[in-house]
Amino acid sequence: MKKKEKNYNLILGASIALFMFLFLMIGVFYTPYDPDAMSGSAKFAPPSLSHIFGCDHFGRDIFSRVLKGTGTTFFVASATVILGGGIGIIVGAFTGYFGGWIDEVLMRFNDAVVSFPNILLALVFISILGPGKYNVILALAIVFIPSFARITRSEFLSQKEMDYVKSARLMGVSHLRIMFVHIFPNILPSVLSMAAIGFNNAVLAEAGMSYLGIGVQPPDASLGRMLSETQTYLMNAPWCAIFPGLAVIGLALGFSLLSDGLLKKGGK
Amino acid sequence: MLLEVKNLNIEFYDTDPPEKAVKGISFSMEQGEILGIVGESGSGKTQTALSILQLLKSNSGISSGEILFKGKNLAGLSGRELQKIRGKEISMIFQEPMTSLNPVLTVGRQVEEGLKLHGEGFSKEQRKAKALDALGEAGLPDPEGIYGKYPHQLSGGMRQRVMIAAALVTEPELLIADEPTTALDVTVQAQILELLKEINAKHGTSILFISHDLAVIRKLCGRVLVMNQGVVVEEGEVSRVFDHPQKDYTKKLLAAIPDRRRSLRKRRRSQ
Repeated sequence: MKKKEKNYNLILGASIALFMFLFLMIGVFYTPYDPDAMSGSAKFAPPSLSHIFGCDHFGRDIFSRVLKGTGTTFFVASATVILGGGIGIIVGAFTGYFGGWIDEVLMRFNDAVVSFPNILLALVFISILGPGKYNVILALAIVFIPSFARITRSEFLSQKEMDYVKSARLMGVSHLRIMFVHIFPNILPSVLSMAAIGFNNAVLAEAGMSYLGIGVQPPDASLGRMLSETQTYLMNAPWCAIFPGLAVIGLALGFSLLSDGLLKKGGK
Repeated sequence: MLLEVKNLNIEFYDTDPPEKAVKGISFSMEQGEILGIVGESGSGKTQTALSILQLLKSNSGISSGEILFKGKNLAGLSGRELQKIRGKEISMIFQEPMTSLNPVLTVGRQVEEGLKLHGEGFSKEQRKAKALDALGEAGLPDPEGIYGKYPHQLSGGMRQRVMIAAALVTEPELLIADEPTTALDVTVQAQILELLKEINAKHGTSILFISHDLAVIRKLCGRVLVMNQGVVVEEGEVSRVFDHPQKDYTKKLLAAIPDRRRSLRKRRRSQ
């Protein structure tokens, strides 16, 4: 027997993710200042006791904006993972379990989607749908479907050959019930880790798209948008960019470690 | 007549022309009978068993023949009709107790699954009571404790007992056992055979027992089919077939059983 090692990735990732989550939950209920309120006198105010993260070029309190922005980014990323992941898992489950022509058609379509770079494809969808928070979610979800579908498919491909599936068939269990009641719990570790990676990518993609100005629209605070707005002042007022940047890093790192930890826990 | 297989042919479509795994075999089973099918690997015995429940893999299929279960031809039923028979009227247990149970569901859930699907109108409590009964009847000590456990917490013999409990919880009329004792050690094997005998005597469940192990067949079955290369070589009462084999293949098969005394004699002679 191997000695049970502590899963530091899981512990650390979960704590960072939890910390970020608590952080944004504070933002939902309370911000020290109105995140959109401008103040001429506080323009580029450096971090101090009254504005602990300082103020930006409009004199808005960065701490309040980071609180709100983290919330926005988190919402977009979660919605993307739920939507894209949900559809991807269903597609993957059907193609992997049944195979045949459904598999061929859906997977070739998948390959077509995958052959474009993610961000580029999301940009195309945004240019069709128009910018905005919900369109970003939709665009990213579409872009994320293939990766979820692929991993789920491969898991189903290997699971459907297992004896327990055969014995479930013998008991007269229907295909749908086998897929989602018998097989799905077995692939849950991979699904969770996949969701964590997906979340991670969605955070970065949302930040990237908002940075390019096609994501979340002003005056909504979003981490990417804050970075892009303040990059001009990076040398004079670095706090404007450092704190939103740290929040992005926190989200991305937390969920990336979490996904590694989950994979390890699943024994893969 | 409970089960009647008439001129069954099974083919593998991987090759061209298709390879015949089972070539026109026929046999029948009475209610309450224990029928053994014995043969070496590749003799077609497992394919025959799987074909009864229409569970052949997609690369193989029944090319001709009939499988009549209580007069109904199983080969002609739709998927939905088959689902009603599988697990309800015919259950099956396999060789691999280690992998035949779903690793992430509790034993109780898996034993209850058959009731959920087929036991119309059982309440949650009734299902649990029935599952506990089945576990107890399968000879598992402390059914209450085992009910909430996961397969990896059980030994091989216990898992095979769980499989048997899950197969019998719906009180099927026919139990197909495909080498259920092969993966178990000899003492556990003997216990499982005893258990199957008890079930057969108590509930009148007919058992189609497939094995390559002649000793096991002899201990359990009333009648036996000897299969080789997809055909039935010999058929008859176990005592007749084993004591007075008529066909060369059966004689060879029986001669292949290692005999402790004979091998000792051989060794002495060579010394």
